[in-house]
Amino acid sequence: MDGVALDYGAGAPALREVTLALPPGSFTFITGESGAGKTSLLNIIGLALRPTAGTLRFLEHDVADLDRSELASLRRQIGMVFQNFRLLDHLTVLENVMLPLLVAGVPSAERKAYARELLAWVNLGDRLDWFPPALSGGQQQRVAIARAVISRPKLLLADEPTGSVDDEIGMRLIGLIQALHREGATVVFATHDRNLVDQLRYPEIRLSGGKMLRVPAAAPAGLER
Amino acid sequence: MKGQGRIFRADASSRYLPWVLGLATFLATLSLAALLAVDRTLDRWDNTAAGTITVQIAPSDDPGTDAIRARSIQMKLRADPDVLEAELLSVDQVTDLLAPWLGGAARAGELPLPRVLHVRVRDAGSDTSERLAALVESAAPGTVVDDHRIWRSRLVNYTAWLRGGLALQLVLVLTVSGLTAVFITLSRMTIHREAVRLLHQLGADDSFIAAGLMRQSALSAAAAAAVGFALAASFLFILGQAAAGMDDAFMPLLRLQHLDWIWLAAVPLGLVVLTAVVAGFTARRRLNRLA
Repeated sequence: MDGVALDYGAGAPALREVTLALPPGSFTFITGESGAGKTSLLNIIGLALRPTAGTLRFLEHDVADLDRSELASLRRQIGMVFQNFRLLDHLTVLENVMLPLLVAGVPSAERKAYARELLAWVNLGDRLDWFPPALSGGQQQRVAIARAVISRPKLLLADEPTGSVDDEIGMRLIGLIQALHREGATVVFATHDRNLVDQLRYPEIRLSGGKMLRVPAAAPAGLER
Repeated sequence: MKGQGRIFRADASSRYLPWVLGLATFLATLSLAALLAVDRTLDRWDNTAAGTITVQIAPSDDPGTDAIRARSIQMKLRADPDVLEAELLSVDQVTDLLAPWLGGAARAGELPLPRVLHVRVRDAGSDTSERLAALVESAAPGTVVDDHRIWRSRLVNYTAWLRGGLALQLVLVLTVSGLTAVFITLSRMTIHREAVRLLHQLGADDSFIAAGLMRQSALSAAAAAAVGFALAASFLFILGQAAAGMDDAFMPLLRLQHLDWIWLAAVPLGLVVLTAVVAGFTARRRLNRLA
């Protein structure tokens, strides 16, 4: 992205003059205090919002030139783990995880089989028919991660995925995200957890008041746990 | 999860839709049934009255003379090129015709009865009618010629208004159903805006989301329309039973034929299709306005 700005129309702009590139297969932290613009930046990268200024390119496409249908097609290559999970409470765990495959038009038997496999991978194989409100925060977050990765996205965006879980669960969730990264996905991980960033030593983009303070180093070299 | 229909959970608005559509189906089915009944009655009037003229020969003191005059007029009419048929009704036939008004008196021969001729003509226009009236008047002064045009024209006028009213009622019911579908779809999109945002983020395009809303609307509409139609059909069946044995020569009765039921069955089907199409169209328009 080049010179990207985002202005919601009320108050100060959420992002100002953000310029960065995310190499394929990279793992990048986005850090900053609350209100620094982390979620806004993730929403721009995830094509949930269009920048109000600047240029955004995604997989060789200039996003400004894309129509709604083309944008939807690109979004299917993005997995997103939301800070507040955003699970649909009236659907079971299995149905929530299958959702991206349903959107992609994958046949029922195939999406069910893959969702079961993935839920077993995140240790929720015995909670397939449960509804999200009956799960703990950590379990809900694992469901959200399973949903984000089920379509094998080229880009995984995680917005404070460990913010609402305890340390042990948090480290397990990060382990899951790292496993996906090892399989080739580009990962962008927003957090305000300084210890985590220092511990894993992936490149970091620091935001403050919507502006970038630090550009990631050229060679991403994470310390995997 | 079999499809996108379940993505949007049931809400207050989706519980309201079946009531409206059930009622709409009931009203629309009855309106259409009434429209069909009126149409059939009008057709019958057309078939029986158009092209016919009734000649009434006033009774005299001597029934024998009346019969001779009637035969003479019949012969004159048959000789006319515009007359296809001139049938002289028997005294019994005339008695039967008058029985509803005169009761037993007509049958008992207490009252003098006119002789009546049913005449089928090539063209029941005013020229033919007036010419034949002059013809019979010359043969038997005081003879009345009735070409049915006046009463038929009044009835046609009346039924045209009735048909218009019923058709308008049908259109209004369909319009209200369509507007309800618009209102409920917009409400549901507001209620489920988070789910809509999530689906967009997961890569769903507008047609996928619209199809989900459309499918759910169609399913709840189908159940409601089936109930509404069943109630209306039961009501029409009871009305049909009540009309059994009644004469519908001058009054539209709700006696339905097989073909009518096919038309009526199209009402719930049409309402379900209308609801689904309107829901899909409304959803797509609203989604298209989102950033």
